[in-house]
Amino acid sequence: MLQRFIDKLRFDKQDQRFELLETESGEPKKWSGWTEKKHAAKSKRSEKRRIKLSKSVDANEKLIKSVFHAEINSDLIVRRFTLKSGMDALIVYMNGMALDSTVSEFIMRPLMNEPEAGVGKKASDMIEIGEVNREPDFDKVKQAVLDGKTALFIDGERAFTVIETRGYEKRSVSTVDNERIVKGPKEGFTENLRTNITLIRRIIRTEDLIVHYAFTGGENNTRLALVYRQNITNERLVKEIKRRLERIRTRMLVSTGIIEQLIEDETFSPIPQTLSTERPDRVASFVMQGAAAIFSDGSPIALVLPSTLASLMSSPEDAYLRRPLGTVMRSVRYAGALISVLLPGGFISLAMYHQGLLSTEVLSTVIKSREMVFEPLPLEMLLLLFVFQLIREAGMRVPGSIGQAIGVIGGLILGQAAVAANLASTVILIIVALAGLGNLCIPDYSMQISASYFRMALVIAGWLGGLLAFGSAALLFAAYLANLKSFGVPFLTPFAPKTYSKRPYVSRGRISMHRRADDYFNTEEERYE
Amino acid sequence: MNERLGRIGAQESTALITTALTVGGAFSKKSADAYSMGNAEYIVMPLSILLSLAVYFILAGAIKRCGAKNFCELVSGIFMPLGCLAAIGVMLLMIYAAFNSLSSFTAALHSLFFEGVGYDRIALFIVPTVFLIAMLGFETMSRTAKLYAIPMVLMLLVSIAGSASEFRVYRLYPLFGGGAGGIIIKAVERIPLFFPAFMSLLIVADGVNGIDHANRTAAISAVLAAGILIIAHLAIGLVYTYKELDRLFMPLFRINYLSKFEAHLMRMDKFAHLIWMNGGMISAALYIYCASRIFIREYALLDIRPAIAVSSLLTLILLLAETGDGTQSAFKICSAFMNKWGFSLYILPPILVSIFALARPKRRKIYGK
Repeated sequence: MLQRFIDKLRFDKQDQRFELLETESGEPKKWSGWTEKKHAAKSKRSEKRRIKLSKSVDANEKLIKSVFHAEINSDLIVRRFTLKSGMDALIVYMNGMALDSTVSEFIMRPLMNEPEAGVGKKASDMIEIGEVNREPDFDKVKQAVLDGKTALFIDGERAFTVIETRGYEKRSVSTVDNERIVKGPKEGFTENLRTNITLIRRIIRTEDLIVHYAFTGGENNTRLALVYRQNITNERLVKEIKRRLERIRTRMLVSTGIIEQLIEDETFSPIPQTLSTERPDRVASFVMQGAAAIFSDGSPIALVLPSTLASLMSSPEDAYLRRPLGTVMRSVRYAGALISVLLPGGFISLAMYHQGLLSTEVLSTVIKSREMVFEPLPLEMLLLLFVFQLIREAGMRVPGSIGQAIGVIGGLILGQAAVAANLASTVILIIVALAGLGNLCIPDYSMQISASYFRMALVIAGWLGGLLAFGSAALLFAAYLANLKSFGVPFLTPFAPKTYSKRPYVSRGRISMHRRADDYFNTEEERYE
Repeated sequence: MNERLGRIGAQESTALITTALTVGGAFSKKSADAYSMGNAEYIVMPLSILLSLAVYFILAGAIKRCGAKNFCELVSGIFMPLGCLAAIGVMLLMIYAAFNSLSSFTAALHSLFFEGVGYDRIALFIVPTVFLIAMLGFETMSRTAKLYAIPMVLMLLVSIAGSASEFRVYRLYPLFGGGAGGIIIKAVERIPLFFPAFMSLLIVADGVNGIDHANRTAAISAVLAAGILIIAHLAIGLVYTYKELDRLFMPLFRINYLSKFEAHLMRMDKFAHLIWMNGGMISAALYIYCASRIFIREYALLDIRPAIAVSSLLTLILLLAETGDGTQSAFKICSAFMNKWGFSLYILPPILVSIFALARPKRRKIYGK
């Protein structure tokens, strides 16, 4: 942290940012506080510490038991048995992670009944399971066992046979909770990585869809999957994502939300630089365009990279509806976002400093509604915005129907009571409600939260310096957005910079024109055209 | 070296330079001076842009001939050790251009928005914003200009459309102001309003993908800005006579008062001013960035940020000096000199440098070999 701050202040260092667009130059910047040197040294040390396997069952059993703390770890199953041919064998798996029935039916039974097992034929040929690998690296064997696979060792070999036996309890595919649409697919991701990849593969049935699995990051060895299209997704982008994933060093990594924070370009930014979604159709549409997606075992949310403001403001339903309807919906969404961010601050600056700009009717309505309200106007606005956030937060943390009830009680009863108690005026209440509704039009949850922060900042700016401070703050806000990048792609693409796109982002383009990927993905096919 | 330059495309660079030219032509001239010889600004402004563009192309040709990537390299190559002094000169001229972009807006805020509030308090809102935008770098400010350019022009057109009912052709009298000679003199005097924008394009030429792209940007921006300024000044001329304009401060802001359709909910004049002021801030950020860039390139400094801080501070000092008590008379003398003879400082040195560079053997690379 301190080093990053010092790096930012150093005069002799170039501001290094990864750039995806070929017109721009730049090198990947250092992130997560790890320098290349330190990282390389750590890799060398782990290379030296690599454990060598023995040819003897006894030695390997001892090794397994010591590494997994078998005397106190009752989940680990270490079963020693003898093959029909008389050779000693050892089987290791995690109880609950691997299916007991698969282990006994398709691994142990054939090995114990086949006289030639381990002598004339290789043991792996006897096993009646599709995915069987020979693994001489003990670290990988250990990882496989923790992942729910079964490791088999036969006396005299210097390697384990790793067999796919994973079969733990999981939630079945159900409808999405947070990104509901009326017209379109309803199913959402689950916490199971395999299921999620299958959901994607069911939509993208092409041979170029690559799924790269890796155990990355935290000490809890979470399994991640990077999904992209070979020869379509920009190779530099894939390389950069892998580089950033490999450099994650944290104690615990349980969700894509944590990965997002560890791999994005600007860690301290309130604006999300990746698109989080639980919809397979949404991920598939971006991957088809040339984006990459990251899945994490245990998380029903996928991260789509790179993402832009336009992608965060889009909804899958835009494409499923007819063009004019999609355009209207998207325009309403953008208008809602602008109202949400600008209206409260703009109103405060007008009402506090430039009353002359408001027509007499509007001004008299404001004055009349505030007759008995005792706190200053900006405080009233900030208080109500805070109350709105409270209601929203409370509504989200409680079960569905109660949450809705809280929204109604908060919105109607509390609002009415606040007006009756002269705590708030009706005009401000309407403005806050409009801003809140506009905020909810933003499809991305992280963007909704960011918008509410900027809204508060603009209210304070309007309070401090009227339209001058409000305008300056809005300009800085725009400049900040223009400065952001998501994996080398400017955040305001395709507005600024303007890039080639057959689908304009506020009005929806014709579906028949979507033959090429958007320019900002800088796909491989486009590069070699 | 931390220059925060980046690289931008044609649309962003055109938006940035058009914004700077429009702000220069529409908002940064004192009315008393602008309309003293009659109302012919709609001819003077495009002519002045044309003259500035001509000087720009001479300079761009010299840069290309020398094999330099931008104006900074040309200065280093031509002046050798004296380049440091030349860089300070250019830096000061760019800072003056930044001050010019903000001066009218500050005065308008002081007299029309916040009556009785001192310049210092207004400037303390404006200059830090400009400083922060300049700190974010050339790429970012260009993209921000792209976001603001369309609302800025739209607001201008809406303001003009709103006052259309008051257009009277007889107000254009005298049709050619002080005659052809007067128009040419005024056009030359206006060069300091436009040439810094073209000059900044040359200073950051490597950030717009080279001199050829910069030339294209300059030509397109000049045409766009000339078009906008002709419409704006013609509208002003159709609404007010030159005698009225002689006394009127910021006529473009005033014509908003004439629109009828906006009276039901709220007036739009100050909103329009707000958007235009943001354009002024972006232009000022561009000039401050360019002033800092030429300085750090010439003095081989590693980071542009301290130079941006100093340039912003100097701009703030100029803004405060405009109304300060002790410096008022000295500032007025300088200001009058810059208004009358500033063009010579802006165009003569570049023309001399160009002649010197063009006299050298062709394609001889003088810098960065």
